Amino acid sequence: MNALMILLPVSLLLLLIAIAAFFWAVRSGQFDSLDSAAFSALSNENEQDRSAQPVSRAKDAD
Amino acid sequence: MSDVRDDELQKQYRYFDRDEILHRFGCQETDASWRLTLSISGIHCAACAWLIEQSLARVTGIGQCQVNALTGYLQLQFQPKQVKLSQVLITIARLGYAIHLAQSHAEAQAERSEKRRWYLRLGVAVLAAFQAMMFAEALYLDWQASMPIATRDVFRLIAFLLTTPVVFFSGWPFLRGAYLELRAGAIGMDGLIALSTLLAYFGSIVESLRGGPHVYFDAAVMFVLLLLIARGIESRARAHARAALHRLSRRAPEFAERLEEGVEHTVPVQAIERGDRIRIRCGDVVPVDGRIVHAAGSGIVRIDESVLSGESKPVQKTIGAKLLAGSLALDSFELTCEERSKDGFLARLSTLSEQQQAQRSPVEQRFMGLAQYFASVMIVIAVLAYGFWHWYQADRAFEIALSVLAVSCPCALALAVPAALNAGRAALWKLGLLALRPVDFRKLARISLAVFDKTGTLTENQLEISEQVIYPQANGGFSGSDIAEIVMTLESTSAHPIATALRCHQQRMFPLSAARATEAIELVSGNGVQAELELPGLGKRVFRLGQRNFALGSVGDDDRIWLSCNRVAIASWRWQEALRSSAASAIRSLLVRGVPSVVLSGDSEVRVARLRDRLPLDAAFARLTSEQKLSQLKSYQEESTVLMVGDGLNDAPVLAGADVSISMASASALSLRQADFVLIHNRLDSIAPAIEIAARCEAILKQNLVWAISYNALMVPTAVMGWLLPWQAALGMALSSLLVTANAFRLQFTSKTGAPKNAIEVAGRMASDPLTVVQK
Repeated sequence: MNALMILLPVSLLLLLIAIAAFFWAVRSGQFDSLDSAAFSALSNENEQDRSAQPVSRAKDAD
Repeated sequence: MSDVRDDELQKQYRYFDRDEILHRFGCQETDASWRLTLSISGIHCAACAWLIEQSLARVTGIGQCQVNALTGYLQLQFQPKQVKLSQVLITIARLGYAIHLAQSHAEAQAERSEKRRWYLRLGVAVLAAFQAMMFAEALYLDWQASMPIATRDVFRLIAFLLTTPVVFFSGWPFLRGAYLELRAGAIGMDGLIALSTLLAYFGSIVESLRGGPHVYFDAAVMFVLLLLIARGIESRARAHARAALHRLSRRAPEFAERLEEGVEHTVPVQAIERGDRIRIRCGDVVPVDGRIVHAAGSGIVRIDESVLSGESKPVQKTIGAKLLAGSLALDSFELTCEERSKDGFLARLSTLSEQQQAQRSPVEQRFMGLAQYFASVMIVIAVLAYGFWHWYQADRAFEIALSVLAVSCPCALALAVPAALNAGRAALWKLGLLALRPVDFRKLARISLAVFDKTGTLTENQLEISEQVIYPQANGGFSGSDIAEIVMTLESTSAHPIATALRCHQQRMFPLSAARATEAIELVSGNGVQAELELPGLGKRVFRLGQRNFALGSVGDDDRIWLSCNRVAIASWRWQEALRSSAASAIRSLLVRGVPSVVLSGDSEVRVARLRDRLPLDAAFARLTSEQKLSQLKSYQEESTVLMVGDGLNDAPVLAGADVSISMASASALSLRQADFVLIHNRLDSIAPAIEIAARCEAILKQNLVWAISYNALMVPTAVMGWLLPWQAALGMALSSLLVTANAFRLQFTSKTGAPKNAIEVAGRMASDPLTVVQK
């Protein structure tokens, strides 16, 4: 039964960590738009590099 | 060309740079950066969302931007010092999307925090409930009671600690609902849920303190968890429907030009009061309901009411005529406000979405009532069982009363119907059918005849050329490109639907042909157009384009349009109404389901007959008035369950008379509310799958009910007899409600029965060039 004395607090601690992580995830907006995640595979990651040095293309877009 | 468009866009969006817009709709994150929610209409798919995100990412001064492809909301973070808001909007408008301020920041914030709170409740419930159940299982598995008392009590203490947040944090909506029900004096679903949960919770505490044989913390967490999931699914489906309604009502402009003693002031629309005089310029959207008081020149104003009525042709209005907010002005005029924007037409659309949320279908109401009745009966049975066992074997009384409550916990019965109906509604919503009223799945499933209106429903409000005949030997031989050039020139000034169709047709056949600029074109009213053109090698000739007697000078008229050179025919065209691309496949797939289609139209025999040639219709009636349509519908109803599909404006009474009615998407359809559904994407081929879904929903509803009733009939007596421990009862309840919910979820995975594929094929065929016959 001594094992329990260690394992019980450990399991509760893990639970607390899990709940805290979940709260953080929700509050940082990760659950705000679950529908969009399905489409994220379509976004091109290389585009991120380009947007890092923004070029105003408003003029030549047409 | 693009400069002109840019100027227009600049003009249209210049108001958005005002500070008050930012303060009203945005929220300041840091000194330089603001956050704003915008709503974009015209997004169809992920690619649109992607395109918008990518284009915005290239604009200096824009931080994060995220487009939700389903709701059309854009979350934007930007720095007003580096980029004007109007520039952001113009960037999006250039891509071809219309953009509006979605909702005030407070509303957006409220909606978001509501959603986040639900996730937090669910997260806590999931994490803690499974832990609590783990400890509870350990207690249950202790068959021979070999666990030391101390260990047992530690486990119970932990289970108690884990259950408390689930009951009071996650379960708060139910506790609050129960309190509200209690105050209103009618115990309902929330009351029963709260009662079972609290009884299990406090009963377990008492048992733990007493050192009794059983605790029921696991039952308490199970109740909360399962019901929270069910409720979340329900509110999600409703949020989607709400976003769709918002999209339809998004046309309200944000600013208007108010005239104060002859001087214009730009004011927010919300600030306009009754009686205020507003100047509206050509191209503006009318901001409030009102009457025309002044118009320059002839006093006639052209108004495009297409968004409100679906009528694509501009309407002429004179001074004193009433205008609805949302219509588009094609001339400049002045207007007095009759309804403030918050009481006006567009505002009513939003209220509609609120009402729609509160509605439940008659079946659902009946079962809610039944469940309520059932709840009271169960409480009585539980009390009676407690009384009996208290007299018979006192130490088991509480346990058995709890078992009775737990096993019957409204879940099976109360979830059976809403779960199926919600799944059905969600599936219909995915097909683009927005329910304006509670859905009667039984009627929809039994549809045996579909009645269609023609104009605006099966056909679009535009014409297309169906056949071209060229008479090559008639006049020295005009080539196809010559003809195209002549037609383009002659029709260049006309806005008649046939002229538009001809221009489009010629343009498609000879993309390089263009109208000549300087010729004098004479419009002969009611007949056609004529002009003297000089062609290389032919000299000057008179060309006429129009009806037969006008173009050829011969007597008699037909349904063709003729082109002549010095009164000798060069070519002729037959025109027809453009079919909606989904019409043919929709009718075919209805036929596959054994539902024949009938057209009731107010249009001429010729047009209806042509429609009949192109679609596999059972019957088609022309020249019917609204009353005749209705009486025809009634005679059909004697034998069949009739579905009526119309444009929602002209046939409102007919729609109301049908068993189930669907109207095409237009704001008038929403305001008249005669139809049961609005077809949001105007895709007729959603109808057959919708009937399929209704049939499946009906079947699932029945299965769920049979299950729920037989389960209760079997388990309640078992619990009363004391053969069921509370944990077994709770497990039974949980499994039963999971079964019912899972069964309902089968609806979500419905395949779309191949309809869209057909639609693409048909659309492809329609779009290909019409047959060209060359006569020798």
